[in-house]
Amino acid sequence: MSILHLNIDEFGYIPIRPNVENTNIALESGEIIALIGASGSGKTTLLKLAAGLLELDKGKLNHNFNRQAYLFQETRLLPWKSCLDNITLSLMPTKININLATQYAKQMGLTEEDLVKYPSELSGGMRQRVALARAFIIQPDLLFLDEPFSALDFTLRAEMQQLLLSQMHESNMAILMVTHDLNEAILMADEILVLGGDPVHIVKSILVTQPRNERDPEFVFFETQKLMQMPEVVASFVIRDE
Amino acid sequence: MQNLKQILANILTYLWSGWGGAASLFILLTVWEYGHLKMGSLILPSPKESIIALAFAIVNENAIFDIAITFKRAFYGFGAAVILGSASGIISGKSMTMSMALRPIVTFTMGVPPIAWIILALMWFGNDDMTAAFTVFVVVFPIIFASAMQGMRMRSTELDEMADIYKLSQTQKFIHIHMPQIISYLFPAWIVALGMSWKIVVMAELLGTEHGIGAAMAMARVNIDTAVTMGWILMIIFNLLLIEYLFLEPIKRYVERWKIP
Repeated sequence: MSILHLNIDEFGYIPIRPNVENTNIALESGEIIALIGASGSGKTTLLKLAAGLLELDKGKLNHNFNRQAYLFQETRLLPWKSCLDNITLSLMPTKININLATQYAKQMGLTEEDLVKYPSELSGGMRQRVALARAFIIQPDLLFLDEPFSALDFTLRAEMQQLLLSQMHESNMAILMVTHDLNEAILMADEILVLGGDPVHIVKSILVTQPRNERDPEFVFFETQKLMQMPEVVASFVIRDE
Repeated sequence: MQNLKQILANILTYLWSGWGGAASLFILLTVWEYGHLKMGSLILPSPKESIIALAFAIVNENAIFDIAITFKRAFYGFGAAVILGSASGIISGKSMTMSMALRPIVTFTMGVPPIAWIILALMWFGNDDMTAAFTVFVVVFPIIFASAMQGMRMRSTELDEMADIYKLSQTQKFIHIHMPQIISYLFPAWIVALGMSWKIVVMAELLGTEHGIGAAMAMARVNIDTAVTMGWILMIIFNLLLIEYLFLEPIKRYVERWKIP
């Protein structure tokens, strides 16, 4: 049984005009599915529907997880809480030991000094690490990623991706991610879904079968080139005329 | 221990910063003294005369009792408005419909002049503590209510989404996510409401009660005793400063310590 099965017949922010239709996503444990598409193509909407943050008009959402986590485009930390309290916020409804927080923070590259500070006193990359620690500390089996690293510089982004993959390797969690970075999709995903059209639906599905630990920069480069030449991908990234 | 030292140091720094405020107040006193020299004691008694007159009233005429009773009335009205206004404002801020429905009522009640409420209260409750307390409550309640409602409405939906993902309970959400956002709206409203409470309670007493600062001022008016009147004004302001700077402001600084100045 899939950990997540999303079946959208129809969804619209305004009732009469659907934004998304006829979309079917099934995610298994230990699998990564990447949604790609141009800005404004409804990637975030789809992710929110999958996480249950938006309610479907017509369709079905089947969840089968113990704990879910979501990394948003912004860090969404509470400015009035110290970094440590921000990390342990996600633990509140669970019975997981709070003492784990420092250990997780260390894994994310945060020092004990960082933990007593407020988020506003840290750099953007450090803040993202706090958000990452908040997500991982509950040991999620389902993780949603909404381009959380898009604001980071190249090296930091690579580091964050590795951090994510090592966490995933340990816990066998499933990831549904949104990205406009084709490199990132090739590097991480088992399946890439290209979104396009109006109303939005899946225009193409691409499987990446190479094991993740064998995806070296060369592989990523050539696969990305191939991806960029597919007519569906080209079409989905062309700016639509109004 | 380290913490205690830090807290003590903070308190001392805060009190020390009071000298700046005191300096401005002394300038005001100087202007007052100058006015007194120009116009004489009948029109404008000197600060010294006023304070002595008030001290005399406190020692010989049991004015402490008047202060206490005024304090009690203002406290009841203000306290009730703070508790009920904040709570009901937060609850109605949760629902769009409630906020829309209650907005005109808030505007309406804020439009009724305080003096009109005093007259109504006198007819309803007579010469009672209730008259002053009720007037304070009814004037101050809509201000606090409107701010609480606004604070709740303006809360970040992004943080709500985050809390929903991690399955925080309603109570946890309220304490950790909503309350710190609402407090930025509530505190200024509480401070404004506190200032108004004092003014209104004195006005209500002046018109309709036998005891309290207002009643004492009515007496001073009958006796054309400007010095005592000025003394009482000083007393009211002094109390207000005390509550705002020794009680509300430190609380505000504590809860908003994450905001870098």
